[in-house]
Amino acid sequence: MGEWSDPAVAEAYRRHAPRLLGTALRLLRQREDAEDTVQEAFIALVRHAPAIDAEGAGAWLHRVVVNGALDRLRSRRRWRTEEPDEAALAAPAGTMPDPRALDLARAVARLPERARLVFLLHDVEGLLHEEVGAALGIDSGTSKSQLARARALLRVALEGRP
Amino acid sequence: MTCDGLDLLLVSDDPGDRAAAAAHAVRCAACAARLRFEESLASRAAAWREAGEIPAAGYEERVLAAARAARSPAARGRADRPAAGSRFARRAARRPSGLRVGWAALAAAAAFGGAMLGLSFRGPAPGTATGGRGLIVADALEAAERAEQEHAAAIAQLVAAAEPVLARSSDPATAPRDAALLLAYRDRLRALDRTIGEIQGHLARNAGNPTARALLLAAYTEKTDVLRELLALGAGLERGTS
Ligand SMILES: [Zn+2]
Repeated sequence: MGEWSDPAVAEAYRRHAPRLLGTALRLLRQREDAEDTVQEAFIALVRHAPAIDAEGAGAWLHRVVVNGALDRLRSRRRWRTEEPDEAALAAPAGTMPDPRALDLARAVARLPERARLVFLLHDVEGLLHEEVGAALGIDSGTSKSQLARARALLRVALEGRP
Repeated sequence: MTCDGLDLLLVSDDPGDRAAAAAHAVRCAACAARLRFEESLASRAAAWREAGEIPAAGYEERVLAAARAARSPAARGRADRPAAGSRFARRAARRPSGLRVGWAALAAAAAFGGAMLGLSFRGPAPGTATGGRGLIVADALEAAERAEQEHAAAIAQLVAAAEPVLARSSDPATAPRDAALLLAYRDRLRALDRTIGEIQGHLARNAGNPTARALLLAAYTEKTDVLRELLALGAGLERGTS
């Protein structure tokens, strides 16, 4: 523990940056915002997390990125109505060499916003319903029902049947 | 169970519920097909999570430079003023009773954190990454950050000392009642860590948020107290067994 030295930050970047960028891009669907969110997480690591060690840094950074991305989504919603543009729907975030992941990304992009966020946070980012609820300001029962809705819509999109 | 209950079981975080869904699917073709879809969805989600994103050229340099600047003497220019941070830390550690925030209240604050800290304290200029920073005098921010670092450093030492005590919860020589107590402490510490992580997440976006800063200091103080209690408990167990 102690200060985060330059080499330690560089190592944390190499280990975690691609996945953190993936998380931020999935939630935000906007590359510039995603890059800023991940950068802020590394600044926060240096400034606020001297007690976090290298092993714990991945989970800590992931949490900060998720919170930061949700904050950005909230402020976007407060100040303008955001419609994802067609380009974002056609070419969802991520390099994704796995075609099955690409299909999923396209289908997720067309979900209603709340169901999209609940699905991403729970099924992709690995949060529990309680945590999803806290992050989105909904109760965990709503998180569960939104997840069921998201999965049902995805089944239609991916398998063509309910 | 009936087929109607499958939805609830499949979205549950409880592994027991998923096992119940699987048990039903063995006897029901429709639900078996549904379960197969859920499994393929989970593996697609995992593939997506693992895929990551290749950073743009120059991005690594930008992030590392920003991290360096965040800690450099230039950025922390007022750090060597006569220990304002230490005074702040000591005051927080003394914990005037009226200012104490219980861990349950903290956990509740963090549970609302997404909505409360994220929305209520956003600066008037949305979209600017450092919105709140201009609202607070640099000195005060510096003092708060130093106080937090001192707390974090002290806590790390306590955590190291507490680890062997917590480990005794799985020691067969520990009485079941003591083991249960130790596990309760472990859970309490985990809850506090989650709270601290939530608040730090908000501070990462808005360093000048005074409420978040106060909550963070209170959470650190609470964690220090819980660790001290745990160490005292450990010493008591030691005497009891020898
Ligand atoms: Zn059935």
